Amino acid sequence: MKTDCDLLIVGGGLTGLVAAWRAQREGLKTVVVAQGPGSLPFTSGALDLLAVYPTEAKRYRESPWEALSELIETEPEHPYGRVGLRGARAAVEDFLLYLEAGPLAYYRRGEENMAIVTGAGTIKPTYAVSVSMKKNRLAWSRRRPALILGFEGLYEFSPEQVVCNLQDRWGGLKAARLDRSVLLDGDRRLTVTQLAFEFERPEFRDRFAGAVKPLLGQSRFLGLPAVLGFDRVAAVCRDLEERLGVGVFEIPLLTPSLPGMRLAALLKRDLVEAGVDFRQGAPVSRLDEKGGHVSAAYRTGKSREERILAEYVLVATGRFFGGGLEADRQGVREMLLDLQVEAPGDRDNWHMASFLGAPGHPINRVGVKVDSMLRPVGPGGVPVYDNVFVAGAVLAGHDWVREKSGAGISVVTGYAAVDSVLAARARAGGGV
Amino acid sequence: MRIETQVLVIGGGVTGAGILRDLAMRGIHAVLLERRDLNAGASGANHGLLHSGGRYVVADPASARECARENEVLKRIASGCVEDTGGLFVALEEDKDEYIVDFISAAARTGVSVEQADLKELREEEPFLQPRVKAAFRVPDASMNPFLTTEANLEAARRLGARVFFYTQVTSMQRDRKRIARVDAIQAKTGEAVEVFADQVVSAAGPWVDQIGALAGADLRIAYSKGSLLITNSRLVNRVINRLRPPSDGDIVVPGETVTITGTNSIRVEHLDHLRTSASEVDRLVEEASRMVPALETARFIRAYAGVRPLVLADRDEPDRKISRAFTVFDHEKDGLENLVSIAGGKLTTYRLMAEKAVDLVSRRLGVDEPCRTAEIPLPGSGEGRALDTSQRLERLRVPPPGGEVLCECEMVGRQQIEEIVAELRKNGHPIDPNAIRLRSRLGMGSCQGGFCGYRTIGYLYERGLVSSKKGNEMLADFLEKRWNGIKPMLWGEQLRQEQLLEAIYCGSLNIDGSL
Repeated sequence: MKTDCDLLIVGGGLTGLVAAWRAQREGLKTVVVAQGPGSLPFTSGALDLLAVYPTEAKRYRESPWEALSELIETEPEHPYGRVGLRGARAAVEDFLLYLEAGPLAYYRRGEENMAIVTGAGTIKPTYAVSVSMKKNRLAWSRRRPALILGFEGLYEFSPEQVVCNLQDRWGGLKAARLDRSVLLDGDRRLTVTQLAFEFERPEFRDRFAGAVKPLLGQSRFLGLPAVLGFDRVAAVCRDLEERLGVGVFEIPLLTPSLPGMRLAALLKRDLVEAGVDFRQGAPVSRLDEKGGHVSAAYRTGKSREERILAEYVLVATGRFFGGGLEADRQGVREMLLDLQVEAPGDRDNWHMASFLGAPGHPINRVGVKVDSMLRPVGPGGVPVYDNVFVAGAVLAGHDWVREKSGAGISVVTGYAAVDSVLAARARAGGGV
Repeated sequence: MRIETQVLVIGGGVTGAGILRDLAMRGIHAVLLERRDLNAGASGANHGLLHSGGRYVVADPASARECARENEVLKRIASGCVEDTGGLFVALEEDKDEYIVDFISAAARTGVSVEQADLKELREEEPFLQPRVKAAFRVPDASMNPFLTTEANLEAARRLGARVFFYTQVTSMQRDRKRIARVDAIQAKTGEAVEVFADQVVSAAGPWVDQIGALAGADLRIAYSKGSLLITNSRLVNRVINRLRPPSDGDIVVPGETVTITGTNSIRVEHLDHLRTSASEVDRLVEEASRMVPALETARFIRAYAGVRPLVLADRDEPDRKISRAFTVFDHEKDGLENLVSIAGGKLTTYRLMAEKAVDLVSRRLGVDEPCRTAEIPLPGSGEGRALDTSQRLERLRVPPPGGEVLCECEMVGRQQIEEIVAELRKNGHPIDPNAIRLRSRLGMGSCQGGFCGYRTIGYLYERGLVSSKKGNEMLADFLEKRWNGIKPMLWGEQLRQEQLLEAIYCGSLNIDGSL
């Protein structure tokens, strides 16, 4: 089987999805090859842009844009440095307008970062959140009386943990748990997805509201773990608010994380509707390359091999977790094209002596080095392919977990890579 | 707090626990102080191997004899802590034939049971074993859980009235001429001072035995030899596999419950704290062990840990591998101290015998005439009879907790088990934190190394009101950092992926590294 496309995107994480969505809109015939579900289901679904800079000082920044300007100035090899402030702003603005208008109704607080409560009872800075977490920010910033509610048997969330960690700064905060026998029969262990299915059913919400109402007391808000349904979360929140007469919000958890899954599902649906050829399952098994040019990629299915002829290729394969990079005892490799990656010395130097300390583990800054067009470079900074671009976490020079910049790097470099493809195409005389 | 007792035992490793039990069984009132939690030193950082003695037959026949005897005793009295896997000594093509000959004759002299194995049968029994083995011998090695063993000894002693204080560090000793008149300690978690008045003091402080001795003015000559071990996330061998050559690095592979433990090496260190295993040590251990079990080369290693062997020095210049692994009971009367006994050296296999010898001396001094009966009476949780075999143990591990209430998915630790452990800890006045629970279960021992189950456990402690304010989150960060020391040297391949996920969750999603 043979497919022709303008742009082949390897990777179905946030970067690949964002780039595909934009490329298709710009008229490029786009194919996405995704090996697995991507890393989004493991994230909070909140869009972090840049909240800690410099990471050495763990300095929290109210204004991500101010921090971004400084970062671009001092770290030109950072993905943001490669794209520049103007490109970053345009990408974030465009992508957020799309998310704000969509069913997840993303919300931001002007040009500033916001703070939300997490399931660990910590306060996390971020730039934009889906509608279900809008009142999370509101309740915390105004310290309004709130009930944090958990479920017996849902071990991913302890309302007492949230309340104990925040009560010295938030009076009127209280914790309660719903006995699961009020809600369901069966095993005592509850899962996030099980609850999400239940919350999509009106009968369940009715029973739930009946059980919660007597617990609310003076609370003006009700905080719940992020289990309020799948794509209908906005309607579920609204319905609960009407039934209970208080503001309802979600609190992000560790995996599995519904807000991340919802964002992934939304993007996939929209880009497939827009005409993107999205192929999940078998990864790219090999490529045709000659003289610094990649002409085709192959996927090996159960019985046959698929050949995808592509004019341009975008590498958005992620880091170690996504499978874009792999390490063995000797070093680090980029897995698709064996692009140049330098490990930070021998293995003793890959990580710091402290897991959570500043500034972050040296291995996290390892990745693919690129030029200002996001083309992978070899020794001397010279591009090694004329039609390959790289975006997202696999890029060198950033530490998104410490900077709190994960989604931002995906969006900004995803957009920039498509811009580079368009520019290269225009130069080559290919019209759109 | 003021404590009066006949005997104070210092050190909560397996030897101290064994001593406490032996004392209690002879009707002697005893109290044990441990500066951290159980098995904080070498007792918690070894292969978990119940030696047949085969390892020592050539170079250290006295140790070999002791091991052979204790192997039989412990399979009887500690059957609940022992998995009777059996063991093998295998000679690879590059190993010297002369050593094989020496091994067989030395085994006969020391009473270590050795039986030549049929190589064809062996390939079926141990499919991951290197196929190019030129000779193999069966020995009665077994796998032994040192945490269960220490716990069972302490529990036996408690039932007879002995008392155990964890997180209680001895800080000084007051001497009155030839006697230690008073031992001062401090409780780390509360800051409370503890004064102990004991007729006799037994120091089973492992590699810290010289520091404890120094508090009383006793001079002990101990060398510190660090040994590192590596754990995989799966069980690759059915039996203990030993390399049939003079003791060297990476020549023992031990199956322990659901994992495989490989090691060890021997590196002199000057300090006992902040032990680390370097990448080059890891590489050497993996390479060496892979010669016997090639699948180890690509196995998923989840953790490295290091313990310090206290080596009793006769001569400072002796090479460490040659220093006897036998133990020494120091009768400090010749140093002018009538009521201190120190014990050092030895190994997990001989802990009971070490305890017996130390308590024999203490009993003589106290004028107590009771014989040692620790070799006859089983430990709590260990019925009469043979140790459990592999299939029985695995069956026990595979039973899912009731109601599907799993807190630790890697190791199938249920909420009910945690509840029981917490109740036990509370009863004994022990501080409750994820680390204390980990030491008494298998929580956090699997692939995630506590990343997911540690979080759930903290949630549970909050739910039960066992922690409040920000204490639980501090405990979680502390737990993750403590686990990190053993995780860091093993971060490549799948384990690096796992670490990146956890870091993304803790720092990315939850911002636990810098909550606003």
